[in-house]
Amino acid sequence: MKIFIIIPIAVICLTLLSCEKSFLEAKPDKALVVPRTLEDFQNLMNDDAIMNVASGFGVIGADNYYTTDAGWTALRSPVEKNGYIWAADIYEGTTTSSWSTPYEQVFKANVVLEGLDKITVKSSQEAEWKRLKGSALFYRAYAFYHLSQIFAAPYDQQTAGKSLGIPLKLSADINDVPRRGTLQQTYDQVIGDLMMAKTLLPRLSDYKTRPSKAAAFALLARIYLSMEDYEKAGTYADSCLNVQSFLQDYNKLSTTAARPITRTNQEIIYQNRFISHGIFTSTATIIDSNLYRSYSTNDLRKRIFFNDRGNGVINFKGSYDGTTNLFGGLVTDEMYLIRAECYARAGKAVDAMNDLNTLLATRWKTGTFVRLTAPAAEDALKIILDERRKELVFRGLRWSDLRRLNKDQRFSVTLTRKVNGSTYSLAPNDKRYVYPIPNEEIVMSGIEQNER
Amino acid sequence: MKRILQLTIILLTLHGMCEAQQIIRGKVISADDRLPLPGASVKLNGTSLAVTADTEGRFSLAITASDSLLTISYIGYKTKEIRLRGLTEILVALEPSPNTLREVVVSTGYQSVPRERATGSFSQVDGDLLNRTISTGVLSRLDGVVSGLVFNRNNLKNDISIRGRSTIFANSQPLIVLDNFPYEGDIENINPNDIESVSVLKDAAAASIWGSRAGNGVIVIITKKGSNNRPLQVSFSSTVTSGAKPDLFYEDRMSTADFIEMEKTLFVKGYYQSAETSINKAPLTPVVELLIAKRDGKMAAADADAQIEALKSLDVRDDFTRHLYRNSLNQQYAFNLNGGSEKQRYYVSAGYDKNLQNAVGNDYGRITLNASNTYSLLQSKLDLTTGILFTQSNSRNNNPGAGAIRFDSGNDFIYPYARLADESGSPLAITHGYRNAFIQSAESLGMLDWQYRPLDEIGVANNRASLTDYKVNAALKYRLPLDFTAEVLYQYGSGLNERTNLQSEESYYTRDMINKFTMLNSNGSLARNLPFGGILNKNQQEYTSHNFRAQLNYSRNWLAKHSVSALAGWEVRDLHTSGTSSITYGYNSENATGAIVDYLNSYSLFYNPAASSRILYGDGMSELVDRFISWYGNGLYAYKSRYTFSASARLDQSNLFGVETNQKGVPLWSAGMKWNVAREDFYNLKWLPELAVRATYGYNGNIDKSVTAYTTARLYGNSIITALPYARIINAPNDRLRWERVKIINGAIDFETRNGILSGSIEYYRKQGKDLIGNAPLAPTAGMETFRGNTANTQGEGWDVALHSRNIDKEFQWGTTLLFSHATDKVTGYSERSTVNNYMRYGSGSGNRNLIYPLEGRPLYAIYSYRWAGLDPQTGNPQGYADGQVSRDYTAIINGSTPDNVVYHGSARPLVFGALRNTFSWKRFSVSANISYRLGYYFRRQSVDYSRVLAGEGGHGDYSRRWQKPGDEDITSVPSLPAVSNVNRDNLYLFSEALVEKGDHIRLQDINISYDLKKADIPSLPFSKARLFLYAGNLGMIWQANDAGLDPDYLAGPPPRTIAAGLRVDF
Repeated sequence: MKIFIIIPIAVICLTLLSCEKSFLEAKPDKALVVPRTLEDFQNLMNDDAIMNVASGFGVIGADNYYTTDAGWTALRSPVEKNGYIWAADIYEGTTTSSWSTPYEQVFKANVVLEGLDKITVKSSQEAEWKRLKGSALFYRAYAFYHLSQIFAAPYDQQTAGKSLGIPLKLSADINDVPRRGTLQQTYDQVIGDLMMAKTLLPRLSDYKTRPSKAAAFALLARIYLSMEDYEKAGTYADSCLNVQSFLQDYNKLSTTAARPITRTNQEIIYQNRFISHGIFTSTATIIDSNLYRSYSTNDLRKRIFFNDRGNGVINFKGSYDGTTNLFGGLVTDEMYLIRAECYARAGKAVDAMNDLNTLLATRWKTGTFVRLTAPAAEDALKIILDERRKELVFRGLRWSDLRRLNKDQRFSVTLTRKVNGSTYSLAPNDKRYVYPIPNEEIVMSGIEQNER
Repeated sequence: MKRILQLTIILLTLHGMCEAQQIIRGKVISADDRLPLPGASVKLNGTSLAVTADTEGRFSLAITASDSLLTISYIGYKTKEIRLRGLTEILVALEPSPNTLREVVVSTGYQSVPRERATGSFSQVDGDLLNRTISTGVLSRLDGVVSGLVFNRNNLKNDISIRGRSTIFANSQPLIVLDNFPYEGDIENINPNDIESVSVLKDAAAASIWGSRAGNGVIVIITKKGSNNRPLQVSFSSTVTSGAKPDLFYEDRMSTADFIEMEKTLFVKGYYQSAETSINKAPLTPVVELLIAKRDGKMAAADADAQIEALKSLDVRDDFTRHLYRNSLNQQYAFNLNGGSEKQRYYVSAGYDKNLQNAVGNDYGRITLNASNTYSLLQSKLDLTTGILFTQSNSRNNNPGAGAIRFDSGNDFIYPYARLADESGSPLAITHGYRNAFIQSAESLGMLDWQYRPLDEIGVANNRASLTDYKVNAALKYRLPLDFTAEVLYQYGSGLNERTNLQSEESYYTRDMINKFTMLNSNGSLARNLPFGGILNKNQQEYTSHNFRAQLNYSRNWLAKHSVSALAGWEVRDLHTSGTSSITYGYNSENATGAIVDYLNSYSLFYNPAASSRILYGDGMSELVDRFISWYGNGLYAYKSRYTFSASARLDQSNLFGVETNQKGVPLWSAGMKWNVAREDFYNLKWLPELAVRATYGYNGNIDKSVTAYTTARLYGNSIITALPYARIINAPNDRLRWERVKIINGAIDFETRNGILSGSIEYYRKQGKDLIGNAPLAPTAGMETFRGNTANTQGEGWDVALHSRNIDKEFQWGTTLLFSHATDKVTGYSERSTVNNYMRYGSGSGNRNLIYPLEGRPLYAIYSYRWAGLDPQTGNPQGYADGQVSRDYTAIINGSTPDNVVYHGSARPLVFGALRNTFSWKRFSVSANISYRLGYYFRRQSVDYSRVLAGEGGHGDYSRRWQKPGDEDITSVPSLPAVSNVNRDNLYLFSEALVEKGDHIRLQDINISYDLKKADIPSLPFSKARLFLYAGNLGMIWQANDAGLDPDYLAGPPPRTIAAGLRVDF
């Protein structure tokens, strides 16, 4: 009778033991992956809610808008409330994704870069491998560069070797805690990443959320401009426009639509949006009156960018994201403006005005646009900078431009805000052009805080 | 029979025995129910010979004189002496001794150990004690009756810690074993009337047989079984419990008048201007609307003011209490049959529960069926047991309660003058989501009714959950030669959990969705992008589990001195869980059809055409696999019933994701000894007939399946912009990942004085959590918020004391049980530091996010606060300390605070807890009252948060006690109302010393009054015995240390009092 027991036990045990290895190899959760394949790496970078956003602090601090006393009182977030009046502490103990999300992008990019180095691919996958590597480098550069515009001092060739940069996290190892380094190191890293990326990326990408060679050129142009290296800025703007130069005719857009510009428009080189803030969507956030007046009646941007609700309430509606989110990406119009500025600075007034006119012709009501002319390069520069502000309004570039142009007596401005009877001002080159780093980071990694 | 190891003790193998010896055989049973008493001690007087009865109560003993005197004893029974007078076969029936614990055989899920030989720390709760409490589920019946086991209130339901928390982020709940196998699913599915007893395994020796799942302790639940040679027995029980409505006024809220005055002030300041012109048509409260009407001249000022004044007398909590809640009514019926012949035993039961919950519209019903059958075959060499356990439950959750009724979906407040119904009880609309004027204009354009009437919602809601669960068991046990027993056990489990929430077109949610996704064409026609009809959310979770165990047992006694029992086994477990969820739009319940919608395009929204949204896509799937292979062994050696040594070891392997095979396993072991001092020859303390000392040492484990050694990403459906699949990293690479271990040292003394006047046990333990999985917060530059790895160590120690006394033992009986536990824990290795804000907000573990922020040298859950310097006598501003000086620079105070310079009060969980239970009985009456106490901890009381007050959201009632004029600082610590809200100013106060209170309290947990009827007393009764009882629960506080009169365990309001009546009949 023992057989009666022993045989079934033995059979069951042996069957189970024999497949024990595969038995314990089962994946505990099908939704989990250990990123190893090119597809996995692409999926990591498909996360556009993380990968394609940037800090909107530049918009908050810049002078394209003002808010009413009631609007300011209704602000709930300390960052908006204090950022608006350039207060020394803006966080009141809170943290901000404006700092953490770019580093999330850097982390993902580093995971992809390290992962790509570990795998070998078939020759048929070589192009895809290169594209992914170029993409990761581009995402990392985009994050570092935009952090530097908010949390590090404006670039100055004389002091960049001494002033503080942003922490450059270059490995996926979470135990590696980077220090701030110098501003020069920050820019060197960003430019180095992009130089490599531009050789790896395809000319254009399938999705605007994915980087392309055109996007790498455009970002390089933007960076060199902020470094006041106008020769290189102009060169890369030109390289970009050689790949993608399309400008949409604003006459074909509806001026009455709630969101006249759509996300799918062909001017976009690279899609990115600013982390949303209540102050961006409040109806009490009103476009600066002088700026609004500077748009001519026949300038379609006046009605495509802005919504005049009456009683002086003029809100922005021209986001290139096509939604309530503000657009923070790369667009061809910016490239025309960079190339024009660089021509002007190089004394090429005619070339400069040509680029500007090419752009503006698409922005004015058909048949009303009269080509602008400048007697000298100096005049061209002034016109181009005015038009730059008007064209790129609420694209986050005004903040970088203020930081850059304030160093030049000709263009420097003092910003002022009036809230509940108090006046706040921000003088050119003020230390508050550099935002404080959230206290959480200072406490946990011990890096140096910015002086305010 | 589901008990695994049968400790068969065969005394005296006859080889080499002296011829004068004679074997006498016997059986020890309970005089009460004729059930065998395994583990009963049989001692030959005048010698040191003693044996222990086996699981069937049988024993055999060699004697030399035919007229020997035997002493038979058993804990919980009166000791009996029997003179043999030449008998060779005896049946000893022991009378139960009342008011002592009948802790006899403790079960580990692998074996039943006679209490006498248990070296480890076990607590046992028998059926009587379990049935003292009335509840739908089993677990809550353990509250206040097991030493060392505490319910962490103010937290999830049934959050249990045994001897403090042994882990940080891994599963913190004890393993629950039903009979032989871990219970998959919610143990509340089990009918408590089917439970025979519950064993709680607390130390390493008791629990380490469960290896990597034993780190938090183990609760072994044993179901009732039939017995051999017993006629059919039928029992029936019924209880009805009624509970009061919840007390919504317990939380002190700002008065309606104050709320309205604040709205008026904010209105004058222009706070509502941006909302008035909001592109999202943000709602404005009725008072603000009246103020606007008054300002714009649309209403006479006097009328508006009068209407506003009239609103001041309302309090929405009156309406909530009246219309949303009712007295709860829970009914429970149970019925069982059991009995057995010589070759078979059976138990069959059925239970039915019907609960009408406090919230109107919510109810719960459960049907349970349980059957087990054991056949003895082949001359009782083979036992075949089969069993089935079935549960079916249905619940309706149509009323999410008062908390779900909000002014706007993004906020969590309701204006306090909201009215749910008019005088006649007809539902009224409240302002919600959008401005009233917008809603009215929208309706005139042909939109669906856009009003929100909370009371109507309960009626149209159809939110159900149903659960079907069954477990089928089969076990074979074969008695092999040479004292071996082999057994195989198998359990198949399967369950289906289905949640269906049909929000019909009448429901606000669906009307709002359809309206939102409507576009107004330029010709005035409407384009509906979301079809008419209901929205059906469906969520299904299915599991199947296989548990297989093969085990070899050995048990042998030599020369009446040595006794060995050992077991070794192999076990495999496979749990497969899969789930699907879906959202169907345009659902028509008549013919069960849905409609197609476009998930990819974004549509502009009716209330704000500039905003756009995709239609929410809600289809999802999940598949989880949990696998374990384990080897285990356990051995016990006893010498002369005086010295017992035990050892246990287990190796577990699992499919833990990303850990290489060689790291998958973790060996865990324990060793223990017991010295039964009272059995020594030299022992002669007559007043203390029972005295034993125990000591154990070993390791238990714990698993956190959420961590892996590799970089791991989770794949999600579709990204926001491109709708492509995307992945997020959830786990940073960690090649040093190990399983958690908890080292436990336990020492104990068990004693009983003569006649059981005082008995009990005193235990001391030390625990060390090693390689605990910790969430180390990372600096944001790391790119991940936290890192999970083996980052922490903890240390704990404590005492568990259980004392039982028989104070009066006459016709009137009075017995007392005192449980006392002292448990401390400390984080000993945790390098990471977080911000002070996190320690303040979440350090107590009671924050919404259920987070833990361990700080080295402190308890896992602790209360910290900012130093408090009172209110500024001129302004009423709160004052703290910056750089050691009294300061009102809130940024400097908060940013200058470090975990070292803030105030540390103490543990947020009780260090001392226990219960005192007195039972009085006279004739057939019995009254028992349980008083529980919790001492040595702190909590933070709530107060007014001005940033919410200044946002027009109201707040805590301390608002009326705020500083208003110089001099108030002597009578209040509530700061003045600031002109502009300042988060740091609020935080200084809300997390200051001023709001920290001692949590110590004593509460009257429950009272049970019962009356017994026995056929033995009244022969005319149609049944053998019956018990009628009344039970009152959640009776409230007797004493609390805090002056505010708050219940520290239920800051949001204590659970409503309940009263129950019941009847239990055995035919």
